[in-house]
Amino acid sequence: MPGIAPYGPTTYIDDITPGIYTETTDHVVDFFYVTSLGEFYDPYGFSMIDDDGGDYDSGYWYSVTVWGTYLAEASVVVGQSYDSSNNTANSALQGPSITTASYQAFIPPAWIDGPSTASCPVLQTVIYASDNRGFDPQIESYRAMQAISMGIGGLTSVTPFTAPPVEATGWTYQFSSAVLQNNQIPATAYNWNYLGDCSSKGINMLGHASTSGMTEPGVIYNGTESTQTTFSGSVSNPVPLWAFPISWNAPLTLTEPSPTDLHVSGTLHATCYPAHEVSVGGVDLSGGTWMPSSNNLAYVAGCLLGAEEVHQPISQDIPLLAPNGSGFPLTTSSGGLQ
Amino acid sequence: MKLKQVNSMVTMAKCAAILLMINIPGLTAMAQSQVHPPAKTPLAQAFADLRSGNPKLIDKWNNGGTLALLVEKEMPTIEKDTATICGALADPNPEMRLRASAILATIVIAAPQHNSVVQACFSNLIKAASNPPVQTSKNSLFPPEQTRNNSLFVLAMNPAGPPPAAHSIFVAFLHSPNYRTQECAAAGLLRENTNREANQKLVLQALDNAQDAKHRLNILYAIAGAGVRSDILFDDAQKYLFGPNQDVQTEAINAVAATGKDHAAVASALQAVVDSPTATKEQKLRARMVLGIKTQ
Repeated sequence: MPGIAPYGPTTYIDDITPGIYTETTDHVVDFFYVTSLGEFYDPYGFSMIDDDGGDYDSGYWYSVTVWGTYLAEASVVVGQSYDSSNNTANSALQGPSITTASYQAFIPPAWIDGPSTASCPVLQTVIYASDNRGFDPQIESYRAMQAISMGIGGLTSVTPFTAPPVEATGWTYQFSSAVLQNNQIPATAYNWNYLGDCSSKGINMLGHASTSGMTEPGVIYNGTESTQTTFSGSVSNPVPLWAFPISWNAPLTLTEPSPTDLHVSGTLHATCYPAHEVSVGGVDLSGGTWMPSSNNLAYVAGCLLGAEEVHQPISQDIPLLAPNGSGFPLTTSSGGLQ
Repeated sequence: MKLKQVNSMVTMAKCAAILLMINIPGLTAMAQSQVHPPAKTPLAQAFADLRSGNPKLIDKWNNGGTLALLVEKEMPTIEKDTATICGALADPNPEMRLRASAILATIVIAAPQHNSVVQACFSNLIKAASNPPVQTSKNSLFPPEQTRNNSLFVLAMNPAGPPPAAHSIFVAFLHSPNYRTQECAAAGLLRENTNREANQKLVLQALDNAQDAKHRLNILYAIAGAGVRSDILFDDAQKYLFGPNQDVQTEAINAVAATGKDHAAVASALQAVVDSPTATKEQKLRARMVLGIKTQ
């Protein structure tokens, strides 16, 4: 596992010059994050002890967001936190607050019906393995995902502190509907020895959707007023011959009216299938989530072909990390500088 | 609603009430039908709401998957809505045309047993496909060509086959700069029941002369999706198994599998991909999957 150039594993966290580092690794990793709170998984091998023997969160914050893909790209943000020892901002020491915003499109049930297909000698109905999940931005199963870490407009200053955005799509597995046992896809069906199966044993077809329809999220810094980013794009099921894309467009404006508050506003525009989840700092935005009413093929097709769209306003306050250590986990303003 | 229209309706209702009182046979039935017009289907009511100009009624169907859900629920008896759907295809409001074309495409994909609705709308589908592309609303995620592409898809892929009258628009859109338009036009030509060889040659010309890899890829989608087995298509698709673009190579595998008349010939062509030292991991995987199907 490589370290953060020019730093290597075992480097003390407070020896690292504040900044953003990006590492690309072919190591398969799971989603994880690091904050001053709770458990974390650190593939970069940083020492979480200050070089003076103190706890790492006493003067520095350290945030890692890795989105699990076969080629993982990690944005590692290292920097000094603002002085919150007196519960107010210290303009001399206040650095940017960094947060991660993300978008995910996911299919809620474990599987959904596809159309009849003639890809086998006999016309058959097919099913697609899906994401089997509800709203939770930390679950790593999606049809499409975009994420970006950025600085938020602060009280007196903001540093344009943007980490490289991350975009990914999920794999699509197509099975014959005959594979179902007790209404579930059995684990044995994923045995690749049965690849191309037309009956009941295993994967009929699979594919990895292209990210070419996505617009890479950028960040616009409006001084101390606000920070803006937009998640947008479309992605199609890569397996069927006539796939119609999932589309979304979610412009967001982030402001930090005080050191302990973050305000997010914007709109979620999306196809009414599948579920859409916009989150900031690991918190789902109430106006930025959409759960479809049905998973029936007619509903899915109607949504993806233009029968209807979703347009939801977003306006939400999110508490930033409070001096006592409570608050939402992915924002990295933390601790008091000692 | 304008005051004049309201007054007119009140007058009609009054007349109907008088006719009911004097009970003239024939006239009574007519009056009753005016007081209680035949009940609209839920889908017809939804379309009426969308046309009403009333923001509250429009919003009801405009944000939240309610219309998509209604389409799903109405699907078992969607024939009752044939006039509503076909009529909406010719609506002056482009959003209504988009919704109608989406419902017809949904029938083709999810409920092809109700294709009589699609067939009843053929002439309006051709008109809807011929209209200039229009963005339905400022925030719509659907491209201006969505209604055209839905309509072409329905004409091309409905289980009854394309109507002969659609031939000229398939030809006209075969060289469209819009990928999906071109793809649906190519599929339509390939699925026509007449002039098969000439149509296949037209599509292969478009494939060979594609302006870029993305256009070539979409014509290969059409060749694979149309599912027409033909020696001409099979021979030509093989040219792209080892071309320079990986997406095109992978889709060529599907096209070869879908067009080959002889399973042994398909297996031989795809085995060459599996054995090729230059083929990518994904191509070999795709070829293996297709070979698995063909060797069942």
